[in-house]
Amino acid sequence: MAADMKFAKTHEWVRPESGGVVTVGISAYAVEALTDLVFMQLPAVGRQVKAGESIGEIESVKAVSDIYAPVSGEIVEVNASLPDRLETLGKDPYGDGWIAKIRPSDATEIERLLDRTAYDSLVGGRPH
Amino acid sequence: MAGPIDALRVMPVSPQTIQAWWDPPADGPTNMALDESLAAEAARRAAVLVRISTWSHPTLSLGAFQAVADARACAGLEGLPVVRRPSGGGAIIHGSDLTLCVAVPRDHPSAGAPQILYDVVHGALVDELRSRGVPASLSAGRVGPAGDLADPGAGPVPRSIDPFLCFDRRAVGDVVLPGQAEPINAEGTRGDRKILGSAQRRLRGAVLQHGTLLLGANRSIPPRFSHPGLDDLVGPAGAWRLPQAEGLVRGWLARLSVGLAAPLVEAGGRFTPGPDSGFEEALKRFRQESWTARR
Repeated sequence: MAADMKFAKTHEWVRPESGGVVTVGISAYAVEALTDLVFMQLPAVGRQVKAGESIGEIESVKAVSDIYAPVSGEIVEVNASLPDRLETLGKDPYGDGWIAKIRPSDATEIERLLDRTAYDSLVGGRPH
Repeated sequence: MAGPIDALRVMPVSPQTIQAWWDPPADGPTNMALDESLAAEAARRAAVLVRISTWSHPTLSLGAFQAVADARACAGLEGLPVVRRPSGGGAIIHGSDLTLCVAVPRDHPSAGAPQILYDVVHGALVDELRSRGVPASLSAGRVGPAGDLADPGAGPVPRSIDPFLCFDRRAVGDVVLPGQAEPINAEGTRGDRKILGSAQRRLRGAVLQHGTLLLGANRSIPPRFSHPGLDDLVGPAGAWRLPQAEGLVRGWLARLSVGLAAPLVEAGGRFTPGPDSGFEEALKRFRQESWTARR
């Protein structure tokens, strides 16, 4: 897990990449809590999103959860094959299980997200 | 929404209480909008809220990810109103059931992993049914199209073989009754009978859990889509339909209160959403054909 990774309270992670883009996914803790994922809907590339806005949905056997944008900006890329290989979210949530890339419109929003220590505390020290 | 002023809106509510309403029958969009508003109110009040409701006419509710084309393809169900639930799971044909909607704030202990709330809500019904001599239990696994129990540890059921109807599926923790010697309907080769299934929508401020308690078989639809309920499986005839079933639900509420370690406040009148609960917006959305047909 990259040292500069940040987390939202709603369990999305953000990793800054080169070129001013951030990669977004959901934490291993969230994936494990949902269990047995069956469906996923990704956002459309080019969509402008606001921090906290739903950008997708994910369904497990018992629950549907929204995936929230951790930062505002434009969706510039999505992991299009992910809905067809949802097991990747469990195997590699911080790598091949990435969901979308966003070009942030307000870099300060990233700074306001939780660092790893704070997210550890949020999930009660459980593995993520 | 038109309706009586909800005096409970100004009642001080402890985070440790459960508030419950018995609502009059409503159509699909209204029920879905009220349930979403219930979740918003649960988050705002920091309280567990329960809405017990019925349907004003037979309606097919789709799980959040199901395709409307699958509903339209059901010969014999043409003309049945269709609504898309915010919660997941399989399709339900309402009309002979009770919807047990439970909304829990996200910071409540039961809002952790989905199975926690599922087990508390379902376990309370199993306990209440057993106290009445009904041999209910929690299901151990899922059912494929042939009715075989899948290994609950085997991972997700591929979407292509997931049965369309909720009551043809089994999730770990569904409330079931022992199977009959002979299958009752065309799909009835499984070894048990599901009478309560639930699915959740995990929102930012609250978890919304829709539970469907099948009181009896739905006589208004073709038998191949109908599943036996408590009245058919336990009897005597009529004993488990409304209003007789109210005692069962009151017992369930009391046990839910114990399970969640919170005293029950049974509210008078119907649930009336607060002005900031998003009810009108949600009602408009659930009434739109484009929303129902979004998948």
